[in-house]
Amino acid sequence: MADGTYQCPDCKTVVKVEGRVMNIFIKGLKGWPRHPGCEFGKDIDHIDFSKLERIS
Amino acid sequence: MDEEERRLLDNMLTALKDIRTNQEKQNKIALLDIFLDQNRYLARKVRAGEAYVQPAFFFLTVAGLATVTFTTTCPEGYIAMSHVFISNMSQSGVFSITYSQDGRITPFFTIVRAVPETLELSQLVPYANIVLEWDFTTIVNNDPVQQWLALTSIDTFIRKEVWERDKEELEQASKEFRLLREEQNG
Repeated sequence: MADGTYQCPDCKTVVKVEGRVMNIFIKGLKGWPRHPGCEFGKDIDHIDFSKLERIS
Repeated sequence: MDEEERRLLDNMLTALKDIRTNQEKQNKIALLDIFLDQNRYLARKVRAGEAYVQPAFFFLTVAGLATVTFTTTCPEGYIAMSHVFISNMSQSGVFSITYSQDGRITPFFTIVRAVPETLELSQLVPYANIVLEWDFTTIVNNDPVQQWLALTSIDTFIRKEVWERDKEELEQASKEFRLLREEQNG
């Protein structure tokens, strides 16, 4: 599994991945997924991490 | 006017004063009743432009035996009150949901086996569901295969300084309300 912290290039949502746990951080406007086609809207087994910006 | 007439008039005046006092108390009780009802309070704040309503919809596909957590921070200068929490899912009893607020010692609620349901928070636990800064939700799919979960929450965001002011007034109102009710019952 691709452990690390990732950011969606479109909505800038930050998600920290640890094993099979996705930790999502939202400020202000609630709701999920943030936009149609957001890579984070998929489950952890189907996310294409290459489409996301790796922060750490 | 003789003594008897004067006494009768005094009695009538006292009775009228009592009626007026009681009417004032009843009016106050009616007003406080509105103030202590969370939905009515929030409606007033929204009308006054001191708060806004924000429905939020979540749709999650969670992989088998995977976990998703949400850390949500209130908008700068606002606190949140939740009215309703609605859940629906692909299969009952596969998700565990834990919801915590502002670092409270125990979670606001823990659902070990979630089922589709609606919680009318503003009716069931008025003023108990306030998020001052952040909340934290953990969702675990205990099933070995992928499942989906849909959550809806309707929140009202109130300006922090407005809530700080109103909180004190609410406390005062609840004391007055209790005293007035006791007098009425007595």
